[in-house]
Amino acid sequence: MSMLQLEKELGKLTKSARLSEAVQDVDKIIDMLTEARQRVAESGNDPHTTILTLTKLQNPIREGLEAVNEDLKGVHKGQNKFGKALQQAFTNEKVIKGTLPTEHDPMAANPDLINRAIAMHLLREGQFGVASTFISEAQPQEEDSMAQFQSQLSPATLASPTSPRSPTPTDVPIVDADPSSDLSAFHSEALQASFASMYSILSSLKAHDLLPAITWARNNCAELEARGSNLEFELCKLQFIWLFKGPEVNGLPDTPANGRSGALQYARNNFGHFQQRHLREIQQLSCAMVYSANLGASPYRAMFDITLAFDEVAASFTREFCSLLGLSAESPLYVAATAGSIALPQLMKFLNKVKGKGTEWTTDQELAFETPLPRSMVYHSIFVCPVSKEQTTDANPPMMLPCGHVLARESLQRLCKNNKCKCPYCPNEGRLQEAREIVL
Amino acid sequence: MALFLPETSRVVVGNGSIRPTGVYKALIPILAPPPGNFPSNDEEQQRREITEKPKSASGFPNPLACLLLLRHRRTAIVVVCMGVHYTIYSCLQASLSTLFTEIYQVSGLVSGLTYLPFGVACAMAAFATGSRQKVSNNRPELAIMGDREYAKLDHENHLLLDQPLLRLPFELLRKNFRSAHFEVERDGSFVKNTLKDTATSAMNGKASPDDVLKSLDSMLARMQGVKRKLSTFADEEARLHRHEAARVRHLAELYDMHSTEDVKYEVWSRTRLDRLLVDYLLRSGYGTSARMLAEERGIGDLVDVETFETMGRISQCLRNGSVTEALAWCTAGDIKKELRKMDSNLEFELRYQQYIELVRPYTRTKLAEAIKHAQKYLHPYRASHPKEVRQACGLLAVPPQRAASYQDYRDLYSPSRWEMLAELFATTHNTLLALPSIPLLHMALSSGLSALKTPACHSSAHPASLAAAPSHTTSLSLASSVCPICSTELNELARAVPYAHHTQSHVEPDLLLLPNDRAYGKARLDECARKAGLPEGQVKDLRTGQVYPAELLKKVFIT
Repeated sequence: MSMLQLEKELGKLTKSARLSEAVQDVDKIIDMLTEARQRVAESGNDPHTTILTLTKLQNPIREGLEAVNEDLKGVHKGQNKFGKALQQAFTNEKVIKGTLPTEHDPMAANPDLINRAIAMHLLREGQFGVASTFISEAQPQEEDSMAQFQSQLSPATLASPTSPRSPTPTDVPIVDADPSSDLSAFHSEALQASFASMYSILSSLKAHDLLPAITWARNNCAELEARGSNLEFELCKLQFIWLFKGPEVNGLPDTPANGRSGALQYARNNFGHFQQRHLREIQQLSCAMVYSANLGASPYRAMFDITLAFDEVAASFTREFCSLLGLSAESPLYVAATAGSIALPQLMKFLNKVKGKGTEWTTDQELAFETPLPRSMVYHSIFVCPVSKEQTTDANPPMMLPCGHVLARESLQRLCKNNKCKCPYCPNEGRLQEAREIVL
Repeated sequence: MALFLPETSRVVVGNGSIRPTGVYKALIPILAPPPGNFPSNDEEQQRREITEKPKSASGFPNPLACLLLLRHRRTAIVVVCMGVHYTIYSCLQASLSTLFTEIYQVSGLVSGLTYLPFGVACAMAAFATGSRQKVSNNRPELAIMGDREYAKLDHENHLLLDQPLLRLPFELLRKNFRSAHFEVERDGSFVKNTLKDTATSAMNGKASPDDVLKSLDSMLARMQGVKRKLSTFADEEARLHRHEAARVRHLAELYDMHSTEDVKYEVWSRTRLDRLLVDYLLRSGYGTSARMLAEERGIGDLVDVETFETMGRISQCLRNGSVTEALAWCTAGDIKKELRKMDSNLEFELRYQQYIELVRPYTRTKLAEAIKHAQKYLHPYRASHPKEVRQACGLLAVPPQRAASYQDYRDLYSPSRWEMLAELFATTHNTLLALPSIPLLHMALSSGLSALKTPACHSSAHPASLAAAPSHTTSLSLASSVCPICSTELNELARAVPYAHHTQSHVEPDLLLLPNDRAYGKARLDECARKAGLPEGQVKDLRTGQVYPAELLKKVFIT
């Protein structure tokens, strides 16, 4: 609750310690001086009045200045108090102490990649204005560095500019395109255009106009099907229900293309090629026609309840759209930053420990500590070998024994004695050849 | 123990994975029928039969029905053993009171009291085992709770990244106050002294009324100046107060949320990301974008555009080869004092650069100027920077054209010093305002990327080149979303960071293995088959699209 405490302290600070009070006191001094000046000026050349005024002025001025100083002292005191509260808010016993980890910054090596990620984030958030400003702002430098870079290169390598990124220890060939050329690729506006179209489709979805989305889904139906998504059918189904509800609900003009007859027409035209996969649902939809008079009491009412349907469809549309672009639906930058702030306390705890012991963590492939992330942030299957307690990797894949228990390959090989191994979890024995490498 | 129950000894069976042989064999299995291979499916089946409750839970339970259990030979053996044991125990207990009356000669009533401890112990045991049972029954629930625990927000530590957010306005407030104090002090003492002087000289008759008027006017002008300055400081203060209040309120909002699953948390976290982005943009010198982003998101009070813009401007000037602005910043008001307090060599370096620039043209007049400059500004530093000052003197003898052969002097003439100065300025500025030296976004990203990264994200099987295709070899929630590390934006960036450490497997429940060695959760396979409209008893690989009959699936056990 330290923030609430701080809020209170801040309230005190803003109320009590203000420079404007000092300004008022300075005003008073100015008034006194002006008055004195007037008196001296009025008195003509009478030295007596002048002296009298001046001597009289001494004390009030001194007091005035003292008052100003007093005000300042008050401000100072208030600030100190608040400073202490601030200090306390971030150093109470629950908070992990220590400075933020600034010594080691793996991100600093490749600002281009960060810029690219930010540009893509802005685009996907639909802030096209900011994105284009950012790209043009980041661009000139990029070109400079590229020009510099290219001048160093022989013409032969110019044809295929390698990544200006510092070489990473992994010797995996970098198949990804050169990041800076990627950044300039935004200027070609391919990505921007696709996100713009996504936002226009989404806004029409919000206005309960499904047609643009259906057109998009139809154009990409092959990819969608490969992904196992039935977005197109969901959209068509919703459109059918939407038409079925008639003009009093959907607000479309009362023409034969609307209402029940419109829905029937729509179904005839569009449901044909879904028959193979979704016959059951189509049957249900058409049977519901019979109940049109009292749909609310019919067994089909659950199907026709579409209060949330548009939101759901919009969410799944965003997901599919991004997936087809090879992007995740949530902005990766957002997920990474959120995960980062969740994991930061662990990191700092670890760094403090390391610093305290004066040791170093030598494995640079794996973190030394577990970072508890919420379920929604676990994206891959993670298999930890129950024997060696190591995560399986490409070099050390999970293997399934004939009995169905899974181990990492290395631990399995270690368990084996002359080609036979006993499962550590059940009484079964099997041969090494029988174990199958599996993909989780 | 070793004698009677050898099969429990660690020496013999290790951690339970070695079968006891010969004399070590346990007795009971010999008496009981050979265990036979328990196919795991059967085991599962049995467990289900046991856990499934009988349909007719109502009515009085038939006590004789449980006797049927004795038909199983293994059960019978265990029951008989326990029965014998319990009989002996009961006999002992029953004979206790008679023995007591005989030996101690106490009345029957008193000897009956010996059963009191038994009663108490029984009651306590009932309570203890009851609660113990409860704990173990709740295990699965706990696992779910544990997940919720992960999602729970640790408020205090969640704000670690946001310390500078509150710190900066406070430091600015203090700086603002110090400047104000400086002005008041200076002009206040001037007014006081002038007034005294004027009064004495007027008293002595040295000053004419005109002089008095003049000095009064100057005092007035001073005070008006003070007032003007103070009111700008007051305005600045009000702005800073507003910022600080907005920030504290923003951070306090977090205390209303208790889980990362909260919808409000997402909004909050988005704002935080925007803040981090603006911070990063400002630090990298993309001021316009930063301003635009802050405006569009309405987080003007949560970011420090002005501060960073001033800093960026000065840095830029330094990069363009001009020290004036930076020097002005260094020497303005009270900053000089602060810099001295933190032992910064910024001012020295700036003066030094000035000196180098004076020497660089290598003309007579400029050299004379350089010497004067050195006497005035560099000489005072001879105690703290002896080597540099000596080098400065040596520099006079080395014109830039000839410096190439001397490493040290070449460095002094090199244009990279400007870059160094710009960086030094940035660091000094950041330390003075208690700002972290690297962008907060870097910190959040490096910690977040490692936390999210798994070995699978950069696996060689992962077709990074086919980013447009659903590019997943392994994914928990393939249907729902793409992993952020695998997404093109961050994939390259994450290459440099280590992957997260896990001590527990996170896999789908009810894994089934397809004949092509790929395993999927049962629920997802079913859903996929339903969506694809496959006939009953067939499943489809979610990634390769191959269709298999359900009989070929094998259960996978993840321990």
